Amino acid sequence: MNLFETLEQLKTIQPDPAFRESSKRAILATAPREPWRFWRRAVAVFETGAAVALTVFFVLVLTGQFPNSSSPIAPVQFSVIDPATLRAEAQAVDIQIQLADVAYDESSTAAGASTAVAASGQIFKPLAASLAAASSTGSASSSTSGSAAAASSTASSTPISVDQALQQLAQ
Amino acid sequence: MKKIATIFLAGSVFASAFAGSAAHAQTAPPAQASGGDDCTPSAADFAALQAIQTNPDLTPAQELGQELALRKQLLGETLACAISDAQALQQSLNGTAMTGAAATVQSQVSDKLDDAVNFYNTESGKLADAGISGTEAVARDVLAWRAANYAPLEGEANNLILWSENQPLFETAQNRLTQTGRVVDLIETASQNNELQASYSAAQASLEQAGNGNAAAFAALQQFQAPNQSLTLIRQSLQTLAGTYQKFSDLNGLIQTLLPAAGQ
Repeated sequence: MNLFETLEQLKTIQPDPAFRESSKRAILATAPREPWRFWRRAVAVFETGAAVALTVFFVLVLTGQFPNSSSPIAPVQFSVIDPATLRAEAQAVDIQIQLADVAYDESSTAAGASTAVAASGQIFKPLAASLAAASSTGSASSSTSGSAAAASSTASSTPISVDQALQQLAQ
Repeated sequence: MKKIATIFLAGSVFASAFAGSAAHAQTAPPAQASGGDDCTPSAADFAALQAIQTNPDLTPAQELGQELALRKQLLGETLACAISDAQALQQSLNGTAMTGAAATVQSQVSDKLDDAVNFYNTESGKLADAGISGTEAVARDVLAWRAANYAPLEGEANNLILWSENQPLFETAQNRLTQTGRVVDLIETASQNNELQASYSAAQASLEQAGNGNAAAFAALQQFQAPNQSLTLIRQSLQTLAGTYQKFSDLNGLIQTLLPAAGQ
């Protein structure tokens, strides 16, 4: 038997049908390795997340844009020693002090005025007197009465507080 | 417009007094205690009342009738003015952003202002059937009530608004201290500097003191202490904060001598 004949016979070689069936069943009976694939996927997700987080962290470190500048990992901000910013903040405090002083003065004045009104109770008497004076002067000279009327109109347009109005109406 | 009305009114009153005519007193335009948009009573509003009282030509019945009508009108307008004042204050208070315990106090004060408005409305309702002595009694009651209740409430509301407006200043100062502390730490890692550390500690202590004063002021507001008391505490805390900024300035100067390039 020469070599060619041997090769021709090998072309027609077939596995044993029983062995083929048993091998096929054995292969199909093997369960797929799903858990292994799940863990690989989980690790991949974790790796991606860690990479993104690290990237964001380094970007924040480089730009100094942490959400909370008092965070222990926040970078040092040298802008805090800028004299202009310091001066602006100090001026804001000074303005607020002035507002508080005005409020204090107003409350002291209001308390004083209220006490004075309560003590005298006659805040409109000078006005009545000036009206009477203007009346008598007006009969003597119309020009004088004109100026007196103007003066009285100026005096009478002086605003008064609600308490002063009530004081006047209480008597 | 108000000036023209006032001059007209004063002229009418003057003419009434000069001519001695009761008719002028009756036809004089009604006094506007509200004084226009700003709701400020003026002396002119009450001059007509004086004119009636001092007019010798009026009969007792005429004087009584005119005086009662005018008193009711002026008292009604004065109470309307008081209501307007209380509502404006409440609006200002409620328009101020507050959180936490401050918001609780804000709500309490706002409720008290509601009570004040209700009180004024109740007193206004008494005017319909009141005689001259009745209107005088209402005026006396409202005056006494305002001195005992409204004046402290008004002070409390104004002080609470002022205190609330101060809080960003304290937060800014605290942030400045934190940031300056980092710079100081950075310098200290390079070389120990006792003067720098002492200056920083002084600023820190001063801010702490200011913060304590600020907290004391709020406690006074929470307890509805006398307005002058809480206002004094507010002023003191601000004065201390101003002193803190002086210390920040000293500290800044020192840092800039140590880090000349950083401050540029």
